[in-house]
Amino acid sequence: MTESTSSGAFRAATLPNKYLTFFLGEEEYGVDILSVQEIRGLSATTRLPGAPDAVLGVINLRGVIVPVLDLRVRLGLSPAVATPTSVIIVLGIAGRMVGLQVDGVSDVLDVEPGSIQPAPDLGHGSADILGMARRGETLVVLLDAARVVSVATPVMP
Amino acid sequence: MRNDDDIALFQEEAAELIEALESGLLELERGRSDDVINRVFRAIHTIKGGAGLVGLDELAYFAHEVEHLMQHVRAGDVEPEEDVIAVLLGATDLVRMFVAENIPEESAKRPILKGLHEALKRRGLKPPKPLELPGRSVAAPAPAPTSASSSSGAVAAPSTSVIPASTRPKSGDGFDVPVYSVIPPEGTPDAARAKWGFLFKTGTLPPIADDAQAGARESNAPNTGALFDALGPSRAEPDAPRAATPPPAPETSAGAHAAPAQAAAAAATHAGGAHPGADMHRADDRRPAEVHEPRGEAGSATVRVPLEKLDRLVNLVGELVIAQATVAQLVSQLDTTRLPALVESIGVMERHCRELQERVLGVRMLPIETVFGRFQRLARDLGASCGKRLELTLEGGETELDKTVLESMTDPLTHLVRNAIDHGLETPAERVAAGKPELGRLTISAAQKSGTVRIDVSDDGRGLDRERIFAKAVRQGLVDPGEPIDDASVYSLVFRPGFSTRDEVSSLSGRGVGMDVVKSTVERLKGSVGILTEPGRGTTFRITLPLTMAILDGLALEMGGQVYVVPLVAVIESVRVGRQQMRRVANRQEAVEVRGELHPLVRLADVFDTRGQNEDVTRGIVVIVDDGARRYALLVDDVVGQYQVVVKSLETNYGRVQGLSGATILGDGRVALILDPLTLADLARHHARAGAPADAAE
Repeated sequence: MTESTSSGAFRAATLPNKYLTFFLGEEEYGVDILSVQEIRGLSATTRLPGAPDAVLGVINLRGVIVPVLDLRVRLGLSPAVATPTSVIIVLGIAGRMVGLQVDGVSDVLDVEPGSIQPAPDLGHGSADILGMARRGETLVVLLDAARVVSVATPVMP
Repeated sequence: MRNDDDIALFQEEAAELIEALESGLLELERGRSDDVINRVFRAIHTIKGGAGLVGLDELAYFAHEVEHLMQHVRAGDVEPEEDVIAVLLGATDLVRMFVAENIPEESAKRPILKGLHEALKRRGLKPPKPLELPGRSVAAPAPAPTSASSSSGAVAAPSTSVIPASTRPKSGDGFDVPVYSVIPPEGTPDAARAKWGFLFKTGTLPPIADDAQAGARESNAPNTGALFDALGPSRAEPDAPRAATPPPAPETSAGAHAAPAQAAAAAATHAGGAHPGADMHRADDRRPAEVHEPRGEAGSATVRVPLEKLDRLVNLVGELVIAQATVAQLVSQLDTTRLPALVESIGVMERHCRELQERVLGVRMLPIETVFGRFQRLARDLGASCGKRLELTLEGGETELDKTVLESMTDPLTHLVRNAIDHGLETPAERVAAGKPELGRLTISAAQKSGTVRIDVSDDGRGLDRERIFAKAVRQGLVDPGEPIDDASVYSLVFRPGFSTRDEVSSLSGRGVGMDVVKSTVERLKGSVGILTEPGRGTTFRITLPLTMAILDGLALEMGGQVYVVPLVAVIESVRVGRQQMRRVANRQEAVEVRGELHPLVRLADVFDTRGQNEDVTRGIVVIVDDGARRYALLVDDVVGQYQVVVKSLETNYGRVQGLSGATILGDGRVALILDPLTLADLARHHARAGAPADAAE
C-alpha cells in the first residue's frame, strides 16, 4: 500500500479499496481511509524555520505537535486559501502523524482494486499517485499517502 | 521452574543488592563496621535465596560460596582485610555477570573460588559444604575443593513443602481465608530449621474452624519465635546447626489470617537461602519481588512503577495545565464582575494544577547518589591499576535529577573520573616532589542551583597543560598555529572528538574517546560543561544540567507575530538599545554594546527567514543570550513574559530543527517553538558565512 507506482509497475492487488475523498479546487482526490486518523477544522499553524515550502507549520493535536502540509503546494498547485469548508485531514503513517490541509472533504469511496486505472505519466508528481478511480462522470485521483507526507521533514543548511 | 517474569524481577532487585554489596565492601575496606558487615551479608544471602527460587542455580551455588566467607567475617573469624575484600569484590563482579545470565567462564570463576577458599584456609577455616538445591538432579558443582572431606558432610536435603491446604476453613460470615500448611518430612533434624511465617492482621477475626484451632494449639512457642525471625531481617546462622530448636508440629493449619504467600515466601527464602530443601509450591502468582526478605527501613515504603506509566501521567498533567490555562484565559475575556466565585475557583484550580504538575514531575526525580555508588569502586580499581593513590569524596548525593537525565549522566561522569585519575592526578612520587600530599583528592559534588543542577568533578592534580593541548591540537590540525586563542577555547579543545594529549594509549584513556562523549551528552541534555583549571593545583569539570527535561522555565518572545520561548537559564538580560549602542565589527558584523560589553547581533527573523520583523533595531528588543560558550544579542520584536512550559518533541512527527530544541503549547492552544541557544548561534554563523543578509554571532 505504501508501494509507489513510480516505476510504472502497477500492482492492483496491493491497493487499498476504501478511500476518503476530498477536494483541491474542482479536483477530487482520495487517500486510503485506513491511514486517516481524524478530520479537524483549521487551526492556526506555527511556522517552522527551515521547513519545505509545502509545510504550513505545526499544530497542537491534543498535546502532540503535528506538522501540517498544504497539499496544494505539495502537488504543485497554487497555495491554499482558507475557505469555510477547508479542513485538516490527519494521517497516521508508520507511527507518524501528519496533517494535510485540503479545501474540503467529500465522501468515502469504495473502489474495486481491479478497476483502478494507472495514472497517466505526467512526469512531475505522478509518483505520488496510486492511480485513478472513476466515480460517475468524474475521475478521482488516488494518492499514495506515505509518499505525500514524506516531505514533512526539515530541510537544513 | 524457570519463569522469565520472575527472573526479570529478581534481576531488578538483585541489581540493588549488588550495589549494596559493592558499596558495603568498599566501606569495609576503609574500616570494619558490624552494620556494614550485616548489610553485605544480607545482600549476598538474599541474592542466593532469590537465585535458588527463580532457578538461577549457577548463581545460587556461587553465592553460597561468597556467603560462607561473609558469614565467617560476620562471626569475626575472618577480619575484612585487604585480601578478603579484594576477593569479595571480584566475586561481586561474577555475581553481577551471573545475575545478567552472562555465565562467567570457568577460567574467570576458578581463581575467585580459589581466592575465597584460600582466604578461609589462611585463617584455618574450611570451605563451605556444597549447596544442594531441591529438585535438581545434579548436586552442587565441585568448587575447587581444598579439603576432600568437605563434601562428605553434606546434609541431606529435607523436602520441606509448603502446600496449599486442600480445604479452607469455614469462616462464617467473615472473609475466606486461604490456609497453607508447611509439612516438614518426618525425622530429619533439619526440619527443625524450617521457618514458619504468618502475618497476623488485627481487626475482626473470622471464626476459626475447629481443625485450624487444633493446629494453632499445636504450634509451640519456639516456632513462633522462628516465625518472626523469618519475617524480620534474617538473623539466622545458615549453616550453624541449631539442634536445640524443637521440630515444628507436623501439620499446622493454624488460623492463618495471613498473607500466606508472604509467609511461605519468607520461609522459603530462608530455607532456600540458608539451607537446601525448601521446595515451594507457590499457591498464587505472587512474584518474587514480594518474596525476598523484607528490607526494612526505607526500602519497604517504596513502590516500583514502570517509567512508561509515569510518563503517561506527566503528559496527562501537562495537558491538564494547558487546558486549565485555556479555561482561565477564556474566563478572563468574560465579564466576571457578577461571578467572583468563578474567578476564585479558577485561581484555586490553577494552584492545584501547578502543584499536581510539580509533584508528578517530582516522582521522576532520583537522588544522584544512585549513580554515585559505582564511582568508589571505579576510582579504587583505576587508582590501583595506574599506580596512583587517591581518595574519592562524594558530596551532595541527595541532589535530585530527572531519571532520564541521571541515567544519561553515568557515562560522562565515568569518563571524567577516568580522565581525572589517568591525566589529572600525579603519581605519589610526583606529588611528593611537588610538595603535595601523597594521597590525591578527587571530589564529585552535586548541588542544586536555581533551576539547574551543578555537578563538579574536581581533582587536585597537575591541572591542564595549555601549551601541550595547543601543540597537540595544532599537530592534529584542529587549530592554526598562528591563531590567537584564549585559554577557555584552548581548554575546550579537549572535548573535540579524537583529541588526546596522550602519546601512548593506556588501558584507561588516551584513545581520544570519552571527553567528546561528555560534551555531546551534556549538550543533548540541554546542559553545559566548563573547565576550571590551575597549573599544579588541579582541574574542575563543571557540568550544569536542567533539573528536568520535561518542563522548562522560559522567556517568551514575540517575533513576526509568532511566540518563541528561550530557556531562562540562557538569558542574561533583555534590553532596548539605542542607535548609539550599535557597532560595526570587521566592516559588516553588527554588534551591540551593553554595559561596556560587545555582543554580536543575531536577528532572529533573518536566521529563521521569517517575515514581519522590524528592521529597526531600536524598535525591537535585544535579549542577551548565553549559549554556554559565548554570548550574543538576539533581536526580537517584543518580550511577552516569563513562563514555565511543558517541553514537547518536534521530532516525533516532524524532525530535528536546527535552532530549536522543541515546542510547547501556549494557553490559547497554539504551538510556540522553543529556541536552542547553542544551535541557533551555529545557524546564525552559517547564515553570516553564506552571505545571508544576517549579521551573525562569531
